[in-house]
Amino acid sequence: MALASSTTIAEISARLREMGEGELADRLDYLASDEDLDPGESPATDESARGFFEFFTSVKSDSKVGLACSPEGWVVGEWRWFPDKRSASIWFLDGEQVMFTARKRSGERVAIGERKNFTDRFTLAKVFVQEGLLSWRLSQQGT
Amino acid sequence: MASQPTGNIELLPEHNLARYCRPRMVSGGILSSDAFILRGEERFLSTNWLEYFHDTDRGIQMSGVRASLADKGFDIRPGGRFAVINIRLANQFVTRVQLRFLLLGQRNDPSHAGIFGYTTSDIDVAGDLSESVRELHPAIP
Repeated sequence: MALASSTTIAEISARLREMGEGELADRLDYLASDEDLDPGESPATDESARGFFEFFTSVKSDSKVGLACSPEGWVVGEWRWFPDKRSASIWFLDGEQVMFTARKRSGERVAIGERKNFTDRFTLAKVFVQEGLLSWRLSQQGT
Repeated sequence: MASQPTGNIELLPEHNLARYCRPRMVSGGILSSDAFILRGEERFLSTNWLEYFHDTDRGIQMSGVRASLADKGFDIRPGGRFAVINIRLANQFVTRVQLRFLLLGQRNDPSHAGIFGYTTSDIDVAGDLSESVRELHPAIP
């Protein structure tokens, strides 16, 4: 679900609510606010939230999703409610780049290329689908 | 390169540590891996040794940690949580590197302890540590 590069977190929250994801929208609004921020920390940034939204709407999962925010303002998606050993934490560094740590069904950690824990969000989605962590949503299959 | 501390007391596998996690780190009762990432110049993950306060009583232990952090002027938020890290369990989850769990003991916080042996780039270790957590306690009861 492509977003314009000017899309704000408020607009993303509205889209999430339209999709029936009110809990995620509320959490994103909280992470974008100044509430509970320590000195030197940033609220969630628009570009990071765009990265999360694009990833979230491209895949589906049998885990619910939790959201956190790093001190840098990066939205962190947590897929940690799988019925087996799978897990994934993804930091959306901007609209495209991600940092991640994830565990396959076997319990083995996922690594991509030489940088292992850094890639772009499309590559990450592709690898996660290949490894059986997530599956494509709608028409993404086979792309 | 991970730091190699000397002169501190090595904690035992049966010991437990508490890590304060900000409200932004906890979602639906699950702790984000971000709570265990080392940042900037950090050489270790800062924690508190629970058995310093009492051998077994978790309530007394958690009260001790809260008081210690308050004495240091640490800003604890109502929505925050203390994650309990059991050393034996953490070592079962973290297998790629050898962690060390050391009592550092500051004058104003004798229970201060650190988890050494990983660096800012060891994202997977942060993930392993977060997955090893089996207990979360309210930062403010």
